[in-house]
Amino acid sequence: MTAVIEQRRVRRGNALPMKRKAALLRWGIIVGVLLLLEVLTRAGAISPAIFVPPSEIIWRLISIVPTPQFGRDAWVSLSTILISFVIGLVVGLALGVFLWKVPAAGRVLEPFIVTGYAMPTLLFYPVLLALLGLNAGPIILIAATMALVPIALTTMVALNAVKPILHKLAKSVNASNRQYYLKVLLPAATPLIFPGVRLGFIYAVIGTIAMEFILAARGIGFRVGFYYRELQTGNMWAYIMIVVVLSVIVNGLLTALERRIRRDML
Amino acid sequence: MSLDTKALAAPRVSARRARNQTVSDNLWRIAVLVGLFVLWWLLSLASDLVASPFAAFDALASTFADGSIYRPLGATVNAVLVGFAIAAVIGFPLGYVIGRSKFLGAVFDPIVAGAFAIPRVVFFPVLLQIFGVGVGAQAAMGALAAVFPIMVSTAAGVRAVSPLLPKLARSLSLTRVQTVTKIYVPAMAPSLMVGIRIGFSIALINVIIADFFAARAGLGLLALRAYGQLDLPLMYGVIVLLALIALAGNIALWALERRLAASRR
Repeated sequence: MTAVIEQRRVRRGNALPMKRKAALLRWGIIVGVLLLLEVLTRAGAISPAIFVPPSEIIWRLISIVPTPQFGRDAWVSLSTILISFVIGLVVGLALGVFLWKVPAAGRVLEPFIVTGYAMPTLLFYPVLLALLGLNAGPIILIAATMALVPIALTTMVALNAVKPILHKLAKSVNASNRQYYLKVLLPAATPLIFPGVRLGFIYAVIGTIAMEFILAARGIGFRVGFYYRELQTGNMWAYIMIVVVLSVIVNGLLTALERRIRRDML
Repeated sequence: MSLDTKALAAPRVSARRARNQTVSDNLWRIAVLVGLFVLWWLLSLASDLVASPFAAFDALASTFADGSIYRPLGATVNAVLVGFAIAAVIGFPLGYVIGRSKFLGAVFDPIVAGAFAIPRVVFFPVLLQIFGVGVGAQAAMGALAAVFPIMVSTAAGVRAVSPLLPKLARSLSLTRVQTVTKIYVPAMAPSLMVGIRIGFSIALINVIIADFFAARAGLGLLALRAYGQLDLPLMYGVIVLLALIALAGNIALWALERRLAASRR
Protein backbone atom coordinates (compact mmCIF):
# COMPACT_ATOMS: atom_id res chain seq x y z
CA MET A 1 0.00 0.00 0.00
CA THR A 2 2.61 2.50 1.04
CA ALA A 3 4.71 1.42 -1.91
CA VAL A 4 1.88 2.31 -4.26
CA ILE A 5 1.44 5.72 -2.67
CA GLU A 6 5.17 6.24 -2.80
CA GLN A 7 5.23 5.32 -6.47
CA ARG A 8 2.34 7.63 -7.21
CA ARG A 9 4.09 10.48 -5.45
CA VAL A 10 7.21 9.84 -7.48
CA ARG A 11 5.24 9.75 -10.71
CA ARG A 12 3.43 12.94 -9.82
CA GLY A 13 6.73 14.55 -8.94
CA ASN A 14 7.97 13.77 -12.42
CA ALA A 15 4.75 14.74 -14.14
CA LEU A 16 4.37 18.18 -12.60
CA PRO A 17 7.41 19.93 -14.12
CA MET A 18 6.53 18.44 -17.52
CA LYS A 19 2.99 19.78 -17.21
CA ARG A 20 4.22 23.13 -16.01
CA LYS A 21 6.70 23.34 -18.86
CA ALA A 22 3.95 22.43 -21.32
CA ALA A 23 1.63 25.09 -19.89
CA LEU A 24 4.42 27.64 -20.08
CA LEU A 25 5.13 26.77 -23.71
CA ARG A 26 1.40 26.84 -24.51
CA TRP A 27 0.95 30.33 -23.10
CA GLY A 28 4.17 31.37 -24.77
CA ILE A 29 2.78 30.27 -28.14
CA ILE A 30 -0.54 32.06 -27.54
CA VAL A 31 1.12 35.30 -26.46
CA GLY A 32 3.65 35.00 -29.29
CA VAL A 33 0.90 34.64 -31.91
CA LEU A 34 -0.93 37.65 -30.47
CA LEU A 35 2.26 39.75 -30.51
CA LEU A 36 3.01 38.67 -34.07
CA LEU A 37 -0.51 39.67 -35.13
CA GLU A 38 -0.08 43.00 -33.34
CA VAL A 39 3.17 43.71 -35.20
CA LEU A 40 1.85 42.53 -38.58
CA THR A 41 -1.36 44.58 -38.34
CA ARG A 42 0.46 47.69 -37.09
CA ALA A 43 2.98 47.35 -39.93
CA GLY A 44 0.14 47.01 -42.42
CA ALA A 45 1.07 43.50 -43.59
CA ILE A 46 -2.47 42.34 -42.74
CA SER A 47 -5.28 44.48 -44.11
CA PRO A 48 -7.30 46.26 -41.38
CA ALA A 49 -10.44 45.00 -43.15
CA ILE A 50 -9.45 41.47 -42.13
CA PHE A 51 -7.88 41.82 -38.72
CA VAL A 52 -7.41 44.63 -36.24
CA PRO A 53 -4.51 44.73 -33.75
CA PRO A 54 -5.21 42.59 -30.63
CA SER A 55 -4.59 45.61 -28.39
CA GLU A 56 -7.39 47.44 -30.18
CA ILE A 57 -9.70 44.43 -29.73
CA ILE A 58 -9.06 44.65 -25.99
CA TRP A 59 -9.94 48.37 -25.99
CA ARG A 60 -13.12 47.66 -27.91
CA LEU A 61 -14.02 44.92 -25.42
CA ILE A 62 -13.54 47.32 -22.51
CA SER A 63 -15.91 49.81 -24.14
CA ILE A 64 -18.45 47.17 -25.25
CA VAL A 65 -18.85 45.02 -22.15
CA PRO A 66 -20.44 47.67 -19.83
CA THR A 67 -23.07 48.72 -22.41
CA PRO A 68 -26.71 47.66 -21.84
CA GLN A 69 -26.80 46.33 -25.42
CA PHE A 70 -24.09 43.80 -24.54
CA GLY A 71 -25.98 42.87 -21.37
CA ARG A 72 -29.12 42.15 -23.39
CA ASP A 73 -27.25 40.14 -26.04
CA ALA A 74 -25.35 38.12 -23.45
CA TRP A 75 -28.56 37.44 -21.50
CA VAL A 76 -30.39 36.29 -24.65
CA SER A 77 -27.55 34.00 -25.74
CA LEU A 78 -26.88 32.51 -22.31
CA SER A 79 -30.54 31.86 -21.53
CA THR A 80 -31.06 30.29 -24.97
CA ILE A 81 -28.02 28.05 -24.44
CA LEU A 82 -29.20 26.97 -20.99
CA ILE A 83 -32.81 26.27 -22.03
CA SER A 84 -31.63 24.31 -25.09
CA PHE A 85 -29.21 22.32 -22.98
CA VAL A 86 -31.82 21.46 -20.34
CA ILE A 87 -34.30 20.32 -23.01
CA GLY A 88 -31.55 18.34 -24.77
CA LEU A 89 -30.51 16.76 -21.46
CA VAL A 90 -34.01 15.68 -20.41
CA VAL A 91 -35.03 14.35 -23.84
CA GLY A 92 -31.58 12.86 -24.50
CA LEU A 93 -31.52 10.96 -21.19
CA ALA A 94 -35.06 9.67 -21.78
CA LEU A 95 -34.19 8.60 -25.32
CA GLY A 96 -30.98 6.94 -24.10
CA VAL A 97 -32.87 4.98 -21.43
CA PHE A 98 -35.44 3.92 -24.04
CA LEU A 99 -32.73 2.76 -26.47
CA TRP A 100 -31.15 0.76 -23.66
CA LYS A 101 -34.44 -0.76 -22.46
CA VAL A 102 -35.44 -1.82 -25.98
CA PRO A 103 -32.19 -3.05 -27.57
CA ALA A 104 -33.90 -3.76 -30.92
CA ALA A 105 -34.95 -0.12 -31.17
CA GLY A 106 -31.40 0.89 -30.30
CA ARG A 107 -30.00 -1.26 -33.11
CA VAL A 108 -32.55 -0.12 -35.69
CA LEU A 109 -32.39 3.58 -34.85
CA GLU A 110 -28.63 3.85 -34.30
CA PRO A 111 -27.72 4.80 -37.88
CA PHE A 112 -30.38 7.50 -37.84
CA ILE A 113 -29.20 8.89 -34.52
CA VAL A 114 -25.57 8.75 -35.61
CA THR A 115 -26.65 10.69 -38.69
CA GLY A 116 -28.04 13.22 -36.24
CA TYR A 117 -24.43 14.30 -35.83
CA ALA A 118 -24.32 15.09 -39.54
CA MET A 119 -27.88 16.11 -40.18
CA PRO A 120 -27.81 19.83 -40.74
CA THR A 121 -30.83 20.34 -38.45
CA LEU A 122 -30.48 24.04 -39.07
CA LEU A 123 -31.91 23.41 -42.54
CA PHE A 124 -35.26 23.26 -40.86
CA TYR A 125 -34.74 26.82 -39.69
CA PRO A 126 -36.97 28.34 -42.40
CA VAL A 127 -39.64 25.73 -41.63
CA LEU A 128 -39.46 26.35 -37.90
CA LEU A 129 -39.41 30.07 -38.52
CA ALA A 130 -42.64 29.67 -40.44
CA LEU A 131 -44.17 27.43 -37.76
CA LEU A 132 -42.97 29.14 -34.58
CA GLY A 133 -42.29 32.70 -35.72
CA LEU A 134 -39.23 34.93 -35.41
CA ASN A 135 -38.42 34.38 -31.75
CA ALA A 136 -36.14 32.19 -29.67
CA GLY A 137 -38.28 29.08 -30.36
CA PRO A 138 -36.59 27.82 -33.56
CA ILE A 139 -33.10 28.43 -32.18
CA ILE A 140 -33.89 26.60 -28.95
CA LEU A 141 -35.38 23.68 -30.85
CA ILE A 142 -32.37 23.33 -33.17
CA ALA A 143 -29.75 23.74 -30.42
CA ALA A 144 -31.66 21.27 -28.21
CA THR A 145 -31.73 18.70 -31.04
CA MET A 146 -27.98 19.08 -31.50
CA ALA A 147 -27.37 18.68 -27.75
CA LEU A 148 -29.66 15.66 -27.51
CA VAL A 149 -27.75 13.35 -29.87
CA PRO A 150 -24.48 12.83 -27.94
CA ILE A 151 -26.39 12.67 -24.63
CA ALA A 152 -28.74 9.95 -25.90
CA LEU A 153 -25.90 7.90 -27.45
CA THR A 154 -23.63 7.99 -24.38
CA THR A 155 -26.56 7.24 -22.07
CA MET A 156 -27.31 4.11 -24.07
CA VAL A 157 -23.67 3.02 -24.10
CA ALA A 158 -23.22 3.82 -20.39
CA LEU A 159 -26.29 1.88 -19.29
CA ASN A 160 -25.20 -1.09 -21.39
CA ALA A 161 -21.85 -0.96 -19.60
CA VAL A 162 -23.36 -1.12 -16.07
CA LYS A 163 -22.07 -4.29 -14.40
CA PRO A 164 -24.65 -7.11 -14.44
CA ILE A 165 -24.02 -7.71 -10.74
CA LEU A 166 -25.60 -4.34 -9.94
CA HIS A 167 -28.86 -5.39 -11.60
CA LYS A 168 -28.80 -8.59 -9.54
CA LEU A 169 -28.04 -6.64 -6.39
CA ALA A 170 -31.01 -4.35 -6.98
CA LYS A 171 -33.26 -7.35 -7.47
CA SER A 172 -31.95 -9.17 -4.41
CA VAL A 173 -32.63 -6.20 -2.12
CA ASN A 174 -36.09 -5.75 -3.66
CA ALA A 175 -35.36 -2.24 -4.85
CA SER A 176 -38.38 -0.35 -6.14
CA ASN A 177 -38.27 0.92 -9.70
CA ARG A 178 -37.51 4.41 -8.47
CA GLN A 179 -34.72 3.20 -6.21
CA TYR A 180 -33.36 1.05 -9.03
CA TYR A 181 -33.01 4.04 -11.37
CA LEU A 182 -31.96 6.72 -8.87
CA LYS A 183 -29.80 4.73 -6.45
CA VAL A 184 -28.29 2.05 -8.68
CA LEU A 185 -28.26 3.02 -12.35
CA LEU A 186 -27.72 6.76 -11.98
CA PRO A 187 -24.60 6.60 -9.80
CA ALA A 188 -23.18 3.68 -11.79
CA ALA A 189 -23.67 5.28 -15.19
CA THR A 190 -22.97 8.96 -14.42
CA PRO A 191 -19.20 8.88 -14.97
CA LEU A 192 -19.73 7.33 -18.40
CA ILE A 193 -22.64 9.61 -19.32
CA PHE A 194 -20.85 12.80 -18.37
CA PRO A 195 -18.60 13.05 -21.46
CA GLY A 196 -21.76 12.94 -23.57
CA VAL A 197 -23.40 15.61 -21.41
CA ARG A 198 -20.29 17.76 -21.83
CA LEU A 199 -20.43 17.33 -25.60
CA GLY A 200 -24.15 18.11 -25.49
CA PHE A 201 -23.50 21.39 -23.70
CA ILE A 202 -20.80 22.33 -26.21
CA TYR A 203 -23.22 21.53 -29.04
CA ALA A 204 -25.90 23.69 -27.39
CA VAL A 205 -23.40 26.58 -27.35
CA ILE A 206 -22.38 25.96 -30.98
CA GLY A 207 -25.98 25.58 -32.16
CA THR A 208 -27.19 28.70 -30.39
CA ILE A 209 -24.35 30.98 -31.48
CA ALA A 210 -24.37 29.63 -35.06
CA MET A 211 -28.13 30.10 -35.44
CA GLU A 212 -27.97 33.60 -33.97
CA PHE A 213 -25.17 34.32 -36.39
CA ILE A 214 -27.23 33.37 -39.44
CA LEU A 215 -30.67 34.76 -38.88
CA ALA A 216 -31.52 36.03 -35.42
CA ALA A 217 -31.92 39.71 -34.59
CA ARG A 218 -30.42 39.52 -31.09
CA GLY A 219 -27.65 37.69 -29.25
CA ILE A 220 -23.86 37.52 -29.30
CA GLY A 221 -23.72 35.44 -32.48
CA PHE A 222 -25.96 37.94 -34.26
CA ARG A 223 -23.61 40.85 -33.40
CA VAL A 224 -20.70 39.19 -35.24
CA GLY A 225 -22.65 39.06 -38.49
CA PHE A 226 -24.20 42.47 -37.82
CA TYR A 227 -20.84 44.25 -37.48
CA TYR A 228 -19.49 42.38 -40.50
CA ARG A 229 -22.33 43.82 -42.60
CA GLU A 230 -21.74 47.25 -41.04
CA LEU A 231 -18.07 46.92 -42.02
CA GLN A 232 -16.97 47.56 -38.42
CA THR A 233 -14.14 45.04 -38.32
CA GLY A 234 -12.98 46.13 -34.85
CA ASN A 235 -16.35 45.52 -33.20
CA MET A 236 -16.77 42.30 -35.18
CA TRP A 237 -13.49 40.97 -33.82
CA ALA A 238 -14.44 42.06 -30.30
CA TYR A 239 -17.60 39.91 -30.50
CA ILE A 240 -15.66 37.02 -32.08
CA MET A 241 -13.31 37.19 -29.08
CA ILE A 242 -16.32 37.17 -26.73
CA VAL A 243 -17.57 33.99 -28.43
CA VAL A 244 -14.10 32.41 -28.24
CA VAL A 245 -13.61 33.29 -24.57
CA LEU A 246 -17.12 32.13 -23.65
CA SER A 247 -16.61 28.75 -25.37
CA VAL A 248 -13.18 28.23 -23.85
CA ILE A 249 -14.47 29.06 -20.35
CA VAL A 250 -17.44 26.70 -20.76
CA ASN A 251 -15.13 23.96 -22.02
CA GLY A 252 -12.70 24.52 -19.14
CA LEU A 253 -15.43 24.38 -16.49
CA LEU A 254 -16.90 21.21 -17.96
CA THR A 255 -13.47 19.57 -18.21
CA ALA A 256 -12.78 20.37 -14.55
CA LEU A 257 -16.19 19.01 -13.55
CA GLU A 258 -15.60 15.87 -15.59
CA ARG A 259 -12.25 15.32 -13.91
CA ARG A 260 -13.89 15.59 -10.50
CA ILE A 261 -16.75 13.22 -11.38
CA ARG A 262 -14.43 10.64 -12.89
CA ARG A 263 -12.08 10.81 -9.93
CA ASP A 264 -15.00 9.83 -7.72
CA MET A 265 -15.35 6.73 -9.82
CA LEU A 266 -11.75 5.63 -9.39
CA MET B 1 -15.05 10.25 -29.60
CA SER B 2 -14.10 6.81 -28.33
CA LEU B 3 -17.71 6.18 -27.43
CA ASP B 4 -18.56 5.63 -31.09
CA THR B 5 -16.24 2.70 -31.42
CA LYS B 6 -17.38 1.30 -28.09
CA ALA B 7 -21.00 1.47 -29.18
CA LEU B 8 -20.18 -0.76 -32.12
CA ALA B 9 -18.98 -3.67 -30.04
CA ALA B 10 -22.16 -5.70 -30.33
CA PRO B 11 -22.35 -9.05 -28.58
CA ARG B 12 -21.42 -12.04 -30.71
CA VAL B 13 -24.24 -14.04 -32.19
CA SER B 14 -24.11 -17.06 -34.44
CA ALA B 15 -23.55 -16.14 -38.09
CA ARG B 16 -26.97 -17.15 -39.34
CA ARG B 17 -28.91 -15.50 -36.55
CA ALA B 18 -26.78 -12.41 -37.09
CA ARG B 19 -27.68 -12.39 -40.77
CA ASN B 20 -31.39 -12.78 -40.04
CA GLN B 21 -31.13 -10.00 -37.53
CA THR B 22 -29.41 -7.71 -40.02
CA VAL B 23 -32.15 -8.33 -42.58
CA SER B 24 -34.95 -7.62 -40.12
CA ASP B 25 -33.09 -4.58 -38.76
CA ASN B 26 -32.81 -3.18 -42.26
CA LEU B 27 -36.51 -3.82 -42.88
CA TRP B 28 -37.28 -1.92 -39.68
CA ARG B 29 -35.04 0.91 -40.79
CA ILE B 30 -36.95 1.16 -44.06
CA ALA B 31 -40.17 1.12 -42.04
CA VAL B 32 -38.86 4.06 -40.00
CA LEU B 33 -38.18 6.01 -43.21
CA VAL B 34 -41.66 5.20 -44.54
CA GLY B 35 -43.13 6.26 -41.18
CA LEU B 36 -41.33 9.60 -41.37
CA PHE B 37 -42.66 10.09 -44.89
CA VAL B 38 -46.24 9.38 -43.76
CA LEU B 39 -45.81 11.72 -40.81
CA TRP B 40 -44.61 14.46 -43.15
CA TRP B 41 -47.62 13.85 -45.42
CA LEU B 42 -50.02 14.09 -42.46
CA LEU B 43 -48.34 17.33 -41.32
CA SER B 44 -48.73 18.76 -44.81
CA LEU B 45 -52.47 18.05 -44.63
CA ALA B 46 -52.67 19.79 -41.27
CA SER B 47 -50.63 22.92 -42.03
CA ASP B 48 -50.31 25.28 -44.98
CA LEU B 49 -46.69 25.92 -44.04
CA VAL B 50 -45.68 22.33 -44.78
CA ALA B 51 -45.63 21.39 -48.45
CA SER B 52 -46.77 17.89 -49.28
CA PRO B 53 -43.95 15.40 -49.88
CA PHE B 54 -45.22 14.70 -53.39
CA ALA B 55 -45.07 18.39 -54.35
CA ALA B 56 -41.59 18.62 -52.82
CA PHE B 57 -40.29 15.66 -54.83
CA ASP B 58 -41.94 17.07 -57.96
CA ALA B 59 -40.23 20.44 -57.46
CA LEU B 60 -36.91 18.71 -56.84
CA ALA B 61 -37.31 16.49 -59.93
CA SER B 62 -38.08 19.50 -62.12
CA THR B 63 -34.89 21.28 -60.99
CA PHE B 64 -32.98 18.15 -62.03
CA ALA B 65 -34.90 18.05 -65.34
CA ASP B 66 -34.12 21.65 -66.28
CA GLY B 67 -30.61 21.39 -64.87
CA SER B 68 -30.94 24.35 -62.48
CA ILE B 69 -29.97 22.20 -59.48
CA TYR B 70 -26.51 21.30 -60.76
CA ARG B 71 -24.78 24.63 -60.05
CA PRO B 72 -25.83 24.89 -56.36
CA LEU B 73 -25.40 21.13 -55.85
CA GLY B 74 -21.94 21.25 -57.42
CA ALA B 75 -20.93 24.29 -55.35
CA THR B 76 -21.95 22.67 -52.05
CA VAL B 77 -20.45 19.24 -52.81
CA ASN B 78 -17.28 20.89 -54.10
CA ALA B 79 -16.89 23.05 -50.98
CA VAL B 80 -17.46 20.10 -48.65
CA LEU B 81 -15.02 17.81 -50.49
CA VAL B 82 -12.26 20.43 -50.86
CA GLY B 83 -12.73 21.64 -47.27
CA PHE B 84 -12.65 18.11 -45.93
CA ALA B 85 -9.56 17.25 -47.99
CA ILE B 86 -7.69 20.30 -46.63
CA ALA B 87 -8.76 19.43 -43.08
CA ALA B 88 -7.61 15.82 -43.56
CA VAL B 89 -4.20 16.82 -44.96
CA ILE B 90 -3.60 19.14 -41.98
CA GLY B 91 -5.53 17.33 -39.25
CA PHE B 92 -4.30 13.73 -39.55
CA PRO B 93 -0.54 14.47 -39.40
CA LEU B 94 -0.91 17.09 -36.65
CA GLY B 95 -3.20 14.82 -34.63
CA TYR B 96 -0.68 12.00 -35.07
CA VAL B 97 2.23 14.14 -33.85
CA ILE B 98 0.25 15.43 -30.84
CA GLY B 99 -0.83 11.90 -30.00
CA ARG B 100 2.66 10.40 -30.26
CA SER B 101 4.49 12.87 -28.04
CA LYS B 102 3.42 13.21 -24.43
CA PHE B 103 4.93 16.68 -24.16
CA LEU B 104 3.38 18.06 -27.36
CA GLY B 105 0.09 16.52 -26.24
CA ALA B 106 0.29 18.38 -22.93
CA VAL B 107 1.07 21.61 -24.79
CA PHE B 108 -1.55 21.45 -27.54
CA ASP B 109 -4.41 19.33 -26.12
CA PRO B 110 -6.08 22.22 -24.28
CA ILE B 111 -5.78 24.45 -27.35
CA VAL B 112 -7.32 21.84 -29.64
CA ALA B 113 -10.07 21.01 -27.13
CA GLY B 114 -10.82 24.72 -26.68
CA ALA B 115 -10.94 25.26 -30.45
CA PHE B 116 -13.28 22.25 -30.70
CA ALA B 117 -15.72 23.99 -28.34
CA ILE B 118 -15.80 27.28 -30.28
CA PRO B 119 -18.61 27.77 -32.81
CA ARG B 120 -16.13 28.11 -35.68
CA VAL B 121 -18.78 29.59 -37.95
CA VAL B 122 -18.31 33.04 -36.36
CA PHE B 123 -15.01 33.20 -38.26
CA PHE B 124 -16.85 33.00 -41.56
CA PRO B 125 -16.99 36.80 -42.07
CA VAL B 126 -13.20 36.87 -41.82
CA LEU B 127 -12.94 34.09 -44.41
CA LEU B 128 -15.25 36.12 -46.64
CA GLN B 129 -12.87 39.07 -46.36
CA ILE B 130 -9.91 36.87 -47.27
CA PHE B 131 -11.38 34.69 -50.04
CA GLY B 132 -14.28 36.82 -51.26
CA VAL B 133 -17.82 35.51 -51.57
CA GLY B 134 -17.71 32.15 -53.33
CA VAL B 135 -16.77 28.50 -53.12
CA GLY B 136 -13.31 29.38 -51.75
CA ALA B 137 -14.70 30.89 -48.56
CA GLN B 138 -17.15 27.98 -48.21
CA ALA B 139 -14.39 25.39 -48.59
CA ALA B 140 -12.19 27.26 -46.09
CA MET B 141 -15.11 27.22 -43.65
CA GLY B 142 -15.51 23.47 -44.07
CA ALA B 143 -11.76 22.97 -43.52
CA LEU B 144 -11.68 25.16 -40.40
CA ALA B 145 -14.68 23.32 -38.97
CA ALA B 146 -13.46 19.79 -39.70
CA VAL B 147 -9.78 20.07 -38.79
CA PHE B 148 -10.21 20.04 -34.98
CA PRO B 149 -12.49 16.99 -34.70
CA ILE B 150 -10.10 15.14 -37.02
CA MET B 151 -7.12 16.11 -34.85
CA VAL B 152 -8.93 15.09 -31.65
CA SER B 153 -9.90 11.63 -32.87
CA THR B 154 -6.51 10.97 -34.53
CA ALA B 155 -4.67 11.89 -31.32
CA ALA B 156 -7.05 9.71 -29.30
CA GLY B 157 -6.46 6.87 -31.77
CA VAL B 158 -2.67 7.08 -31.50
CA ARG B 159 -2.89 7.04 -27.71
CA ALA B 160 -5.08 3.95 -27.79
CA VAL B 161 -2.53 1.95 -29.83
CA SER B 162 -1.16 -0.88 -27.72
CA PRO B 163 2.39 -0.09 -26.52
CA LEU B 164 3.43 -3.54 -27.73
CA LEU B 165 3.03 -2.59 -31.39
CA PRO B 166 5.85 0.02 -31.55
CA LYS B 167 8.08 -2.55 -29.81
CA LEU B 168 7.14 -5.06 -32.48
CA ALA B 169 8.08 -2.49 -35.14
CA ARG B 170 11.44 -1.95 -33.49
CA SER B 171 12.13 -5.68 -33.20
CA LEU B 172 11.36 -6.06 -36.92
CA SER B 173 13.62 -3.01 -37.53
CA LEU B 174 11.01 -1.30 -39.67
CA THR B 175 11.78 2.13 -41.07
CA ARG B 176 9.90 5.17 -39.80
CA VAL B 177 7.56 5.25 -42.79
CA GLN B 178 6.90 1.53 -42.50
CA THR B 179 6.13 1.88 -38.79
CA VAL B 180 3.51 4.50 -39.57
CA THR B 181 1.92 2.81 -42.59
CA LYS B 182 2.19 -0.84 -41.54
CA ILE B 183 1.72 -0.60 -37.77
CA TYR B 184 0.03 2.63 -36.69
CA VAL B 185 -2.45 3.21 -39.52
CA PRO B 186 -3.99 -0.31 -39.40
CA ALA B 187 -4.13 -0.24 -35.60
CA MET B 188 -5.78 3.18 -35.66
CA ALA B 189 -8.20 2.44 -38.50
CA PRO B 190 -11.38 2.54 -36.37
CA SER B 191 -10.63 5.88 -34.75
CA LEU B 192 -9.47 7.29 -38.09
CA MET B 193 -12.85 6.30 -39.50
CA VAL B 194 -14.59 8.09 -36.62
CA GLY B 195 -12.49 11.15 -37.43
CA ILE B 196 -13.40 10.95 -41.11
CA ARG B 197 -17.11 10.54 -40.39
CA ILE B 198 -17.34 13.35 -37.85
CA GLY B 199 -15.06 15.63 -39.88
CA PHE B 200 -17.20 15.07 -42.94
CA SER B 201 -20.45 15.76 -41.07
CA ILE B 202 -19.14 18.93 -39.49
CA ALA B 203 -17.74 20.18 -42.82
CA LEU B 204 -21.16 19.63 -44.42
CA ILE B 205 -23.05 21.40 -41.62
CA ASN B 206 -20.72 24.39 -41.64
CA VAL B 207 -20.70 24.78 -45.41
CA ILE B 208 -24.50 24.96 -45.28
CA ILE B 209 -24.49 27.49 -42.41
CA ALA B 210 -22.00 29.51 -44.47
CA ASP B 211 -24.36 29.21 -47.46
CA PHE B 212 -27.11 30.76 -45.37
CA PHE B 213 -24.87 33.69 -44.46
CA ALA B 214 -23.38 34.61 -47.84
CA ALA B 215 -22.73 32.61 -50.99
CA ARG B 216 -22.87 32.84 -54.76
CA ALA B 217 -24.37 29.39 -55.16
CA GLY B 218 -25.15 26.48 -52.89
CA LEU B 219 -27.95 24.26 -51.65
CA GLY B 220 -28.37 26.27 -48.44
CA LEU B 221 -28.72 29.46 -50.46
CA LEU B 222 -31.20 27.75 -52.81
CA ALA B 223 -33.36 26.64 -49.86
CA LEU B 224 -33.25 30.12 -48.36
CA ARG B 225 -34.18 31.74 -51.71
CA ALA B 226 -37.05 29.32 -52.21
CA TYR B 227 -38.29 30.25 -48.73
CA GLY B 228 -37.98 33.95 -49.59
CA GLN B 229 -40.10 33.44 -52.72
CA LEU B 230 -42.55 31.29 -50.73
CA ASP B 231 -41.78 28.40 -53.09
CA LEU B 232 -42.30 25.95 -50.24
CA PRO B 233 -42.26 22.72 -52.33
CA LEU B 234 -38.80 23.59 -53.68
CA MET B 235 -37.55 24.51 -50.20
CA TYR B 236 -38.67 21.16 -48.78
CA GLY B 237 -37.27 19.42 -51.85
CA VAL B 238 -33.82 20.93 -51.24
CA ILE B 239 -34.03 20.03 -47.55
CA VAL B 240 -34.80 16.43 -48.51
CA LEU B 241 -31.89 16.39 -50.95
CA LEU B 242 -29.49 17.65 -48.26
CA ALA B 243 -30.84 15.22 -45.69
CA LEU B 244 -30.39 12.39 -48.20
CA ILE B 245 -26.78 13.47 -48.87
CA ALA B 246 -26.08 13.53 -45.13
CA LEU B 247 -27.85 10.21 -44.52
CA ALA B 248 -26.27 8.40 -47.47
CA GLY B 249 -22.76 9.66 -46.68
CA ASN B 250 -23.14 8.80 -43.02
CA ILE B 251 -24.59 5.35 -43.54
CA ALA B 252 -21.83 4.52 -46.04
CA LEU B 253 -19.09 5.62 -43.63
CA TRP B 254 -20.87 4.01 -40.68
CA ALA B 255 -21.17 0.68 -42.51
CA LEU B 256 -17.49 0.84 -43.50
CA GLU B 257 -16.64 1.56 -39.86
CA ARG B 258 -18.66 -1.45 -38.70
CA ARG B 259 -17.02 -3.70 -41.26
CA LEU B 260 -13.55 -2.55 -40.17
CA ALA B 261 -14.46 -3.15 -36.53
CA ALA B 262 -15.89 -6.60 -37.34
CA SER B 263 -12.90 -7.70 -39.42
CA ARG B 264 -10.59 -6.89 -36.52
CA ARG B 265 -12.27 -9.33 -34.17
